[in-house]
This record gives sequence, C-alpha cells and structure tokens, in this order.
Amino acid sequence: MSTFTQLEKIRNVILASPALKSVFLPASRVFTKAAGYREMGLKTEDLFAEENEVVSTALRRLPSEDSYKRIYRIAVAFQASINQQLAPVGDRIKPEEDTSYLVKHLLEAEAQIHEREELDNLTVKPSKKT
Amino acid sequence: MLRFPRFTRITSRSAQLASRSISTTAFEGNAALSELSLVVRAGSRDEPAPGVAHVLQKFAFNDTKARSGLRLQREAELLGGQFKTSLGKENLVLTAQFLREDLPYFVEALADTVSTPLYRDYQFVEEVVPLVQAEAELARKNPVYLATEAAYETAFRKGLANSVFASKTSPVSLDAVKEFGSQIFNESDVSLFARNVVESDLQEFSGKFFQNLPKKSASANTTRTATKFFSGESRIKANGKNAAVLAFPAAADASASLEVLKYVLGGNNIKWSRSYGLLNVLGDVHVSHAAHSDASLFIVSAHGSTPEKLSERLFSVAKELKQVAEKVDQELVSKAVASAKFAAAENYGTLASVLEKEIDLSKVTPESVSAAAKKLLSGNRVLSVVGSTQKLPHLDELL
Repeated sequence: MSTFTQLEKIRNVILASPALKSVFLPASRVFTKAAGYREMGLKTEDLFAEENEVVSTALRRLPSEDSYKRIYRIAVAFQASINQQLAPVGDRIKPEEDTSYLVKHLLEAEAQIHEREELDNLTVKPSKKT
Repeated sequence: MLRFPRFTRITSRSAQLASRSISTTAFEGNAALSELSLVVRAGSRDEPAPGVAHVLQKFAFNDTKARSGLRLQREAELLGGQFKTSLGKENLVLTAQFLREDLPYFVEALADTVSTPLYRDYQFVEEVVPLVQAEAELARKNPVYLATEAAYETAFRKGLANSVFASKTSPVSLDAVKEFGSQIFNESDVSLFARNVVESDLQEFSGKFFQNLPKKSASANTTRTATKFFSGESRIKANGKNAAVLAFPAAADASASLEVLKYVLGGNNIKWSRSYGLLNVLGDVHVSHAAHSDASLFIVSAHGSTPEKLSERLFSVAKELKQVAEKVDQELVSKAVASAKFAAAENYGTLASVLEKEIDLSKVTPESVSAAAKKLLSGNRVLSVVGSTQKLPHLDELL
C-alpha cells in the first residue's frame, strides 16, 4: 500500500517537472470534476478512509476549527446524498476552496508511527573493534 | 577540609571556547558511571504564570530538530543511559547518567534538548499535559505538601511563593511555555555539572555541541525581584489527614545557626529509632530548612490522624521552640553540628554541593543557636493548616 509519504514524494516530483505537470494537472482536474465530490460539499481530503492508525491519529490532532468544519462538510454531503440531491449551492466547494488541511498532520503521524516501528524492530550489530 | 579518595581533583572554571562559553564544573573521578547535569538558573519562582515551569520540565528530552524524543529514549536505552529532570524553585536540572565512554552522545543530547526543542502541540496535549496533571494531582493528595505550599505563598507572596507543580485552577498555554523556554535556555543561564568525566573532554564536547544555544537576549527580563517576607496564616479545609506547617521566613545569611537549629529540633533521621532531636519525641514532626538564593524558610511540619492529636503536637512544638530560644544544651548543639557536618560531607561531589552555598559551622555556639531561634520567633511567622481547620489552633494561640 502506498503511504502518504510516498504520495507526497510523487506529487513533488510531478510538480517539479513541467512536462509531467502539463499531463497530470489537467488529468486531475477532469478526474475531480467527474468524481463530483465538490458538488456534494466535500474537499478531497475529506475522502481519505479514516479507519486506520495514521488517519485517525491525524484527525485527532486537527485544530478544533478544522475539525468542526470537516464534520460540517461531511454532514452536509451525507444529508444531500440521502435526499438524492447535490449540496446546497452555498455549501459546494469551489476548486480554490479545496485546500489541504490534513496532509501536514498525516505526514507527521506517519513519520512518527514509522519511526516507532523501526525502533521496535532494531537489530543491534556489535561495532568492529579497531 | 576532609579528604575524599573517590575524586582525584576538583576543577571549577568557565570554559572559554572559540565562540560559546558555557560554564562547566567537573568532578573528575574514575568510576565507570558518569553523570552530567545541565543546570538552568530558572525555576518555578521565575515562571510568568503558574505551572509554566512544570510543563517546560516535562518537555525536556522530547522532540528536537535533530531527533524525536522516542529515538533519544531508545538510543539512550541501547547505550545504557538514563535521563531525569528535576524542577525546584530556583533551578531546572536536566540530568543524564551513562557509561563514561558515551560522554559525547549525552552532551549532544542535553545540548539538543535546550537548543532546538520543538514543543509540538500534539505532544503537549497527548504526553506532557497528562504527565503534569498526574504529578500535580499526586502532590495535591499530600496534605503536608499542601500546607507547605500554602506557607510559602503566605510567607513570600510572589516569586518563591510559586509552587513547583502546576495548579488545577490555572491552565497553561503552550505559547507561554515556548516563550519561557526561549527566555531561560540561553548560554548565560545554563551551566554544566559533571561527575566522573575527563574535564578536557567535557569542555571540548560542550564547545562543539552547544553552538546552537542562543545568547541571552537583551530584552529578556530575567532579573528576580528581591524577595519580601510576610507573616500570616493560611487555613485550608480538607478531608482526611490533618497537616500543619509552622514556617519562619528569613534572610539567607544567618543560615549556619539555623542549619544547626534544624538538627537540634529535628535530629537526624535514623530509621526505626528515636534521634536526639527535641521534637522527635512528638512523632510525625519534620523540621527542614529551605535555603534559597535570597531567602530561607525554616519549616516545622507536622501531621496527625486527628485534629486533636495534631493540635497537641503543635502546642508542644511551640513550647519547645520557645524553650530553645531561651537556652540550648551544649551537648545537643555538638550533636547537631556533627549531623550538619555529616550532611555537608554527604553532599560532597554531588550537584547539591554546587547549588547550595557552603556554610561555616565552626562559629556555631549554643548561644548563637538560641539567638537564631529567638530571632525566628520575633520575626515573620507563618502558620498553615490543612484539614479540620475549626479544630486546629491559630497562630496567635501557638506563639
């Protein structure tokens, strides 16, 4: 499974290279539009599956302001989904509003969990005597 | 001066290095275990709001720019080292104990923790605050601690009055902790104390690793206001055990006679036996003398299962104090001087011997001890009681 750290690296590579950028950015716009979650009032990062240690840790560490807004968006989308409707116009997310609020915490949590796993499985080699 | 074979040489000087100068004190010895303490000249008396110093203490050895707290802990485990911190009213001390060949690693670890701490907000919420709360809660369960803190607050009102532990009623913000940390972790207020290390090595490594420690900022307001003394009484209603503290704030200078008076009254604590101290027959009475940089507090603390028992003890304590102020037995004083000398010798080569002022016991006589006691009784007096306050005596009834 690709981790958020790997995804972030891939993203940086794409954004750094003009050729890749010219292919992937328009493609991502088409994909996002087709997926339609912004019309349901959700940001991209609201869609991440939260039933794992990394995401649940990151969500716990969100500032309360961000956390309330996230839950509001999810509630709006849920209600709209039940009604078989799009979200009310005022609650839809414009592309420029679809900002990142979670990735920072995800990367931090992932690095922390990864480090703990590494340290839990250390093998100690005796240093060579000179 | 007594000779101690364990330490071959005492050196104490400021290491003047290329760009940074951290004052270092080293006791060179040959034991395999080294101890390195980083002493920050700021404690709870300097904190801007209650509990800030306590939270800062718990942030020690946590994440820094160089490595995470977990990594530091695990690496120290591999090397067989230990970290501990202690916070007092005057100082914050970060200590590492390790095998003597690992000196560079631990100098770097101590340098890191004060030079580039990260104060992560999730660590504040997830690790530091629960630890602070647990410690403070544990302390609050002890009525003698409560009474002592109340006595400090009554006697000094500000500065030294601040409790070492965070208070339940005043929340601490992370920003205040960061601000306090950046104020006190600077090269003028930080010094190193080491045991069983080679001093030249210590100076080399401290010069190398303390490069990032900031200089004292000119705007930092770390001058302490002069301590003032007050009389008063503090009565705290509480369930459970009853405790009382009689405290006498005084200037820091007359401490030799007071140190001896402490032993005259309290004796030395020999387990399971009754010592020579005048108050020892009462049981559950403890005498201490807290010497701070610009003030001292002479404390007689007592506790009892019932308020009646405690009252009885307190009246006996007051009676003994008045008697000591009149006259003290020569034999008792010589025993007390011996105990005081023993305690000073016991501290030799430890951090306590560096932090505490040396006192001259040679001039202490029975007359000076009773004069000191008389001065205490005629000076500022503080009584704090915790428990069934309606049944416990007031200050004017006691003295």
